[in-house]
Amino acid sequence: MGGYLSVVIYLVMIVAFAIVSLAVARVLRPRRPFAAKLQTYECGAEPFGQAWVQFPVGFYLVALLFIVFDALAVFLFPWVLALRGLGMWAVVAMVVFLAILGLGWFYAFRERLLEWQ
Amino acid sequence: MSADVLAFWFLAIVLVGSALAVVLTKNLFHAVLWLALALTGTAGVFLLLDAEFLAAVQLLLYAGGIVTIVVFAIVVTERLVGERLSQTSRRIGGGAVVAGGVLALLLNAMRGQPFPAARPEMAGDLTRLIGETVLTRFVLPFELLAVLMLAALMGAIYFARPDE
Repeated sequence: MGGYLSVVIYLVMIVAFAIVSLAVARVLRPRRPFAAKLQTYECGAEPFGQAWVQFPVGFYLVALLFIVFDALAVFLFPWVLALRGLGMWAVVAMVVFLAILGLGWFYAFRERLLEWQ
Repeated sequence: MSADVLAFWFLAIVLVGSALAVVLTKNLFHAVLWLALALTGTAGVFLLLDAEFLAAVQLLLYAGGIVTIVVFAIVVTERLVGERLSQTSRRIGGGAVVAGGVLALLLNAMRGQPFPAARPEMAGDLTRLIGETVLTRFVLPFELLAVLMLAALMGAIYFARPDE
C-alpha cells in the first residue's frame, strides 16, 4: 500500500490546484458582468436553441459495442502476463474467445451499425 | 492511525456520501456524476486490498463504461429532451427504514465474529495468477463468458437498432 503515497500526494495537489486557483481568481478579479459576457461560450459563434437536444441513437449503439470490447480488453491483461508460462494453449484459448466475440462484431457490421447515418 | 486506516475512512466517507447523493439529488445528470464518483471510490477500496487488477477493471468497466452508457441513454432519450431532468425520491422514509434494517441484519451477522487484525499478504502477482487460473482451470467458463457477452451484444443491437 505504501507505493501509493505518491499517488495520494498527486491527487491532493490536483484538487488543491483547482480550489486555490479558483478561489484566488474569485478574490482578485473585477466583477463587471454584461449580457454578451454572460452568454454561453460556443467558440465565438452565436448560441441558439437549447443545449438539450436529442442526440442520434447511433451514439448509444457505439457505446454498447464499446462496453463489450472494453470487457474483452480486461481479459487481455492477465492473459498477456500468463502467456509465457502457458504457451500455445493460452493462445488457442484466447483466439477462440476472440472468435466468439468477433461474431458479435460481424453481426453489428451486417446490421450496418458501423455506418454513420 | 496508519495510512491504510486513514485511507479507508476517507474512502468510506466519499463512498457513503456519493452513494447518498446518487439517490437524493434532484438532477438526473448530477446523479450520474455522483455515481461515477461512487464507482471510482470502490476502485480505491480494491486498491487498499492490494487487488490492483480489480481496481483497474472497476475503473475501466464501471466508471468508464457503465457511466458512459447511462449518460448516452439520457442524451439519446427523446422524452427527456427539453424537460428539466429532475427526479424526486418519494418514500424516503420507507427507504431509510429498509436500509437501516439491512444494516442491522448485517451488523447482527457480523457481531461476535473475530475480525482479522491484518489481512494476509498476497503471494506473487495477482493479475498473473488470475490469467493462469482463467486459462487453465476455468477455461470453459471463460469461453462460455464470450458466448454470454455475444448474446448480450446481439440482443442489445437487435433492440436498439434503428428502424428500417
